[in-house]
Amino acid sequence: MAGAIRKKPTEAHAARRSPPHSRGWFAGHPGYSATVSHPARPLLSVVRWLALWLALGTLPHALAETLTLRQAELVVPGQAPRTVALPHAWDEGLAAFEGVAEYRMRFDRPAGDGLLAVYVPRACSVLEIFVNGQLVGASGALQPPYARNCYYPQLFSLPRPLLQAQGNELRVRLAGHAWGEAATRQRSSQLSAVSVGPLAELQEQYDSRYFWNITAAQIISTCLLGFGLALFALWLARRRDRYMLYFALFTMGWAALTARLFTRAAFPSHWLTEAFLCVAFFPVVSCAMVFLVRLLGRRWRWMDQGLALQCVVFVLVVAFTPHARLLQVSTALYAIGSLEFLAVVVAFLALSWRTHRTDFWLIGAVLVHSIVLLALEMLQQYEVLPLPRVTLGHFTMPLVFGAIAVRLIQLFVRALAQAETLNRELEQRVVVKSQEIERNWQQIAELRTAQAAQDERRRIASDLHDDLGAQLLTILQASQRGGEPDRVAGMARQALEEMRLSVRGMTGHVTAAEEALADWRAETVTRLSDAGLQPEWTAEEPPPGLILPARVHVQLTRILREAVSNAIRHSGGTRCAVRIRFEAGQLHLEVQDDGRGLQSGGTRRGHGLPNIERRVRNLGGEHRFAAPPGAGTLLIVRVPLFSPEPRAQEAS
Amino acid sequence: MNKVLVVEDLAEVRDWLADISRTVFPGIEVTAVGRADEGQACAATVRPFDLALVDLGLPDGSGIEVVRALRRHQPQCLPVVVTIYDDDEHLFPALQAGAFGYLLKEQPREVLEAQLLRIASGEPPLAPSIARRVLSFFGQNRAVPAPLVPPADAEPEVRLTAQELVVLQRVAKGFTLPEIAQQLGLSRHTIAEHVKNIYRKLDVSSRAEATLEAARRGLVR
Repeated sequence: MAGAIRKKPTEAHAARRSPPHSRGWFAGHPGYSATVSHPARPLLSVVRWLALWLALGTLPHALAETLTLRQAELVVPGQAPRTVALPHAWDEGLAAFEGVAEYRMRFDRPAGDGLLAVYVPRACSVLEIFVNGQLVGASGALQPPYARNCYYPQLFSLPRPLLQAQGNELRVRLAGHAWGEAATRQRSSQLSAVSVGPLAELQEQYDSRYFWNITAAQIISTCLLGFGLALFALWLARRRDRYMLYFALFTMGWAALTARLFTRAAFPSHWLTEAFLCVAFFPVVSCAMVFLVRLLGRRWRWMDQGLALQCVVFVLVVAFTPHARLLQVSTALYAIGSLEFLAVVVAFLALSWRTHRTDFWLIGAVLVHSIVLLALEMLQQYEVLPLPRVTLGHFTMPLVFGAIAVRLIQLFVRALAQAETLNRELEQRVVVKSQEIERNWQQIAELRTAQAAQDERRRIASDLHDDLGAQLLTILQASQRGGEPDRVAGMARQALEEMRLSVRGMTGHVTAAEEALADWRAETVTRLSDAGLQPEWTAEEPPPGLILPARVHVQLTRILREAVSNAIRHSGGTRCAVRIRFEAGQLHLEVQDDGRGLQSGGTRRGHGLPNIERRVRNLGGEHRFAAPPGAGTLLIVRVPLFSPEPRAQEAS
Repeated sequence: MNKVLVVEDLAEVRDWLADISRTVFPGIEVTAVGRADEGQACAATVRPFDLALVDLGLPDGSGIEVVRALRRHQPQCLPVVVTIYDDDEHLFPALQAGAFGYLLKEQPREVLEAQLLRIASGEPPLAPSIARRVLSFFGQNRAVPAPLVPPADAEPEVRLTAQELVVLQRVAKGFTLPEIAQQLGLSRHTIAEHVKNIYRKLDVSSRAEATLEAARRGLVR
């Protein structure tokens, strides 16, 4: 990264070297290009930046020909001139001062004949530099509102013709706010040591400082914003993971706070800007704390509410703080925030240790790192440590964020994978279950079929016993007693018919009532006609779609056949009427002849009557013979169409 | 009627059928066999039969094969199925194969003789269940007058006439042929003619169907 930036073309270099607010005339100097074309420079810079990284930016730079001015005569209106050491912060004797202070230094012309420059690593807020009475550069107007230049280093070229060999006067006019009106020491009025020396050497210092303080901050801020947005998007996709949201808010908030390092945009009033920067810190840190708690899967309502309340309270506190005390107050507030964060981190580490979180070491290391950084910052704020050339936290924080973000994404991906696995398992279970259900259903269907077959077998067995068996027995008896062959043949024929009906019932297929009626009609009319009786058939239309169960169909066929046979054989009449109608789930059958009738005549009415009786009973119906005197016989049969299950004892 | 073929596996019944044939058609020459392959062989002999009484359940196969062989080799022969089954599942395939009527074995001899005579004189029996099957076979089992839509399988030209359809529908409702003749104001002879035609069309269409099926399978080009 460093190398790439170093290899930028000269124009970019020149532009960066000259901050937007500087008014120096150096940019167009003809000899300038010679300073950037050293062949070993890119390699050297990479090595040096690595060294810088290792040294964490705190080691002093010793440069051969550069003159570092560490003492100045401070001239402030209304005060006697006095000598101060550089770097000089205004809390040393200028605490209440606001305006332009002048630092006067003397130096001898550096040896050699290269281009010279003046380099000021830190000047808060704006400065103008005069050498021997000539303005060589400025970082902004010395009128309020001052440009927010505190993090920007300043470099101005120094025309050699201006200088005498010895005793040159360097005046730095520094405009700043009263000490304590900024929220941090880094943004309080101060002047670092001033270096005068060869442009080449100072240029490098300037570049490196500019990179670490400004460019790095820009990169970091952008990266953090990216992280934050990505995590926010993840949270949108999976709202359940609230910790994702808090981390996203924290990250984006931190990105916004980081922008204070490089952005010159500000509220109209210096105080407002500083107050905002002070209080804005707390919502962001609160998000971090809530995030840690949520990451553990907990939710401490009191903490959430307390933190929200604290943010509001801090806003009020800062609002009612006298301007000059902002630094003190904000230092105290920062301390409170830091301690809270520390407490949450400790709680987090303890809890995650206890719950054996797999990411204990990762998050732990990250948190400890951030605690150390925070501690360093606090120590600087409390003046225990000097302000560093490069603020360490600014560019190590992204590592912290990155680690946590990676961890969060890992969690997210794991949850996703888990959901997929669960889904797959669920699908498999559904498949297994549905197979089971199908199997059960099949078993039930098979059982039902078996049950139906069992019922059918029972019916056939009872038919064979009751009807066919009885008839065969009769045939046996008759033939043994030497009965007439015709009678035996008739009985055998009847037995065959019985068998056929049983078989028809056995095939088990149901018959539509309409078709059964047609069959009955054809048979009855043909038989009666052939026997010389006048048939009279009256059948009501059956209910549409009515189906006769095989058992009902077979038994009714037999009953009708028997009744017609009786009329043919025994009535001696000339007409036979058959009437069928359907009523309330029952079939009404009437067979009437105009013959002798039951009482008249001594002859028995054949074997048909007991058979009819038995069959009607089997169907759960009823029958009766009505014999109007002198008007033949009337058989009335009523059977339910939906026969109850055959009784079990029938089979036994 | 000069020659009759009796195909029946039970010797008693075979003799009985031969006896009935001789009674109905005095002086007829009876050839009696007990197996389906013998029946088919007889069907393929040169001397033609006028009548054939074929049992359906034979020890080596179905009598339907014999009926089919007779229709193929001796179209002038009148095949009659003699069976103990009276259900249309058994009878209808026989009628489709070309049987021109059926007799139920257990009926009294006089009835059988009368029925046989009626069949021979061109009045085959038609039970309601058979009529229903025929109707559904021709796909014309609809309200009269049916829009005579040709069924998908049958040859388009093999169709029932409106009169035949009416007869079939009435038979299917349980009316006897004499009753139908009376209802339609037709002679019994005309009705019998319709029934005969129905039988013939059943045979023809089923053979056409078989040809179609064979063509479909690539047996006939």
